[in-house]
Amino acid sequence: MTNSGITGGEPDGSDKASFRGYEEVAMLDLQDDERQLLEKQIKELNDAFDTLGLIDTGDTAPLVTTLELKNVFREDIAMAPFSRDELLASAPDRHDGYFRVPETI
Amino acid sequence: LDYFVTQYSIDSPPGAVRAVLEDTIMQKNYPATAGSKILENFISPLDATVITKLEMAGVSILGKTKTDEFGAAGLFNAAGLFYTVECGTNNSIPVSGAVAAVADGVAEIALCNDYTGMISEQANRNGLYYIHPTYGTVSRYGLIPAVSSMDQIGVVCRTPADGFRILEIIAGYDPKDGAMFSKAAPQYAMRKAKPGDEGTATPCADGNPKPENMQSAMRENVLVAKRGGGGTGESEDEESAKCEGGGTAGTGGTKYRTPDSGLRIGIPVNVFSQGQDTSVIAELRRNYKTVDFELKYFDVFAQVMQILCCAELSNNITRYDGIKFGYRAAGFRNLHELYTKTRTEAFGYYTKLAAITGAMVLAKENYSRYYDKAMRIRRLITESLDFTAYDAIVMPCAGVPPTGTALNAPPTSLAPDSPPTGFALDAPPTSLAPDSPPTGFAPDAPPTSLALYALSRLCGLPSATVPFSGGGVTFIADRLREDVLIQCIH
Repeated sequence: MTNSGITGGEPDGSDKASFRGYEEVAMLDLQDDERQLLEKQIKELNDAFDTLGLIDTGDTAPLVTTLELKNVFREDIAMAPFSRDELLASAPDRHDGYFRVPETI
Repeated sequence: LDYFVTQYSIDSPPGAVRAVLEDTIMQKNYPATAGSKILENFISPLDATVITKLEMAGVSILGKTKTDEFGAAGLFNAAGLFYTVECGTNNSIPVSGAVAAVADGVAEIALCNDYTGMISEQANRNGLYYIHPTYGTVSRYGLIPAVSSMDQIGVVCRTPADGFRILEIIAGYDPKDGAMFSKAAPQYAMRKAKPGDEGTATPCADGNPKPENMQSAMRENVLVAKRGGGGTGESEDEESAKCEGGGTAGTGGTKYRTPDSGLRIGIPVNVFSQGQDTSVIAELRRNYKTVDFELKYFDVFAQVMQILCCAELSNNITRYDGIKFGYRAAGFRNLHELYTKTRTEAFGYYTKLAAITGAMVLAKENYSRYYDKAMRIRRLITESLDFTAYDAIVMPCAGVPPTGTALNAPPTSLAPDSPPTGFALDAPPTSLAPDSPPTGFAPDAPPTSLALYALSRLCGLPSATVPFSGGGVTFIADRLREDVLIQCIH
């Protein structure tokens, strides 16, 4: 494989341009066997993606969406928001009207 | 057969149209999972706009059907395993609950977000239709997002008349969806066969149907194309008159107007030449005025789709962190572990594959080469189409795989240990080859379902996948020209 988006990287994932780096960005922590399979598949995808380099896109602008969108502000009318209880209803852990998370400091 | 993730206890009024919803569409006070353990126990606080419109029109919603997790398996030409059911009409192939429910007659229609074409393909294998509307004409408020630039709610149906009637109900501007045509009305309409009858389904000035007329209109079995701007200028009476004299097709004695004699169907010869069935082309030439052309960039459709869809899907699923809703893993020591353990335990194989692929193509070192490049090619593809040379494009369907085999399957050893609570999961078919590598990645690979259905998704065009000549084809029209699709189907 040449010119691939995946490099060898470091085993501890310190190289972001490695499978482990992308895994970290995706907020995953795979088991070894699953990592092995996914890494193999992503390298195959990588090879296929590299074929796009054969296409000359010149100065063609990227097409992000097929709709010609422009920013439009909605009417400045108050709308009924979801209640705190509604928003917390499906939270896996909550306390006194807040989402409960692990200590961060 | 168990089609449902959630089945509602409702009494359908006699004669009411019965609909099922793919479990990506949110209904207030009911679970919505998108087929993922990450959303187990999530109860929707809102009704999707399409649900509000269906209910106003008197359509009975029977429940939420099983689906592949975020539809990600379709990106890798893989058949999902865990949320599929075997369909009565073709029980060797696992299909989504939505397709199975319509194929087995449990419901007349199903609403789905088929951004990969997998649902279209499954529908076609079971003799059903899939109508994919112009991007931006049906509100996605309340649809669990997957690939935002391609997400669009479409209809699995037994007849195209059913599908277009449902689109008539659900289409129209919704300020709650930030990416919609603001004023344009969809270019299709139903008219009763007899001019002057009451109960005609007529769009309001804003493009929305009049709800009080929908229920009676749903009973009618006549589908007439309504020309949009630049059309024929026919009056409604003329349309109705043509309709009465039209041919018949479909399973319900549905009438369609004979296609305009001037309708030109573009055949992308480079696509069909890679396929197996030349009889489809012969049949097309017998039935339509055809125009041969080369569909540029087709060889990289699959790659462009994979790059764009993985990028957008990986972005959209960052919201699943184990804090705001859904599943949360146990045994974490800090916030970072809460995120990673939750996502690693709850996401399935193909969602993980899409998430990591998305992270890769969006990474600084790859962005220009992959994501930006794919967006530029997307524009080239869109601008290469010439709807002055043809009125619609026809694409082949992928066809029926050998009996008893799935297209691809994730390694069975990586199946989630336990199904999401409360879900009835079918055992994966034993005939699946666990180690089958994905196909369609190599440049010389044959056309795959992802590539064959990519054009309408990449370019935001309406399409209709229909049974044809013992197999199936997809007609694709210009933006907002659903009327042309209706003319194609006869």
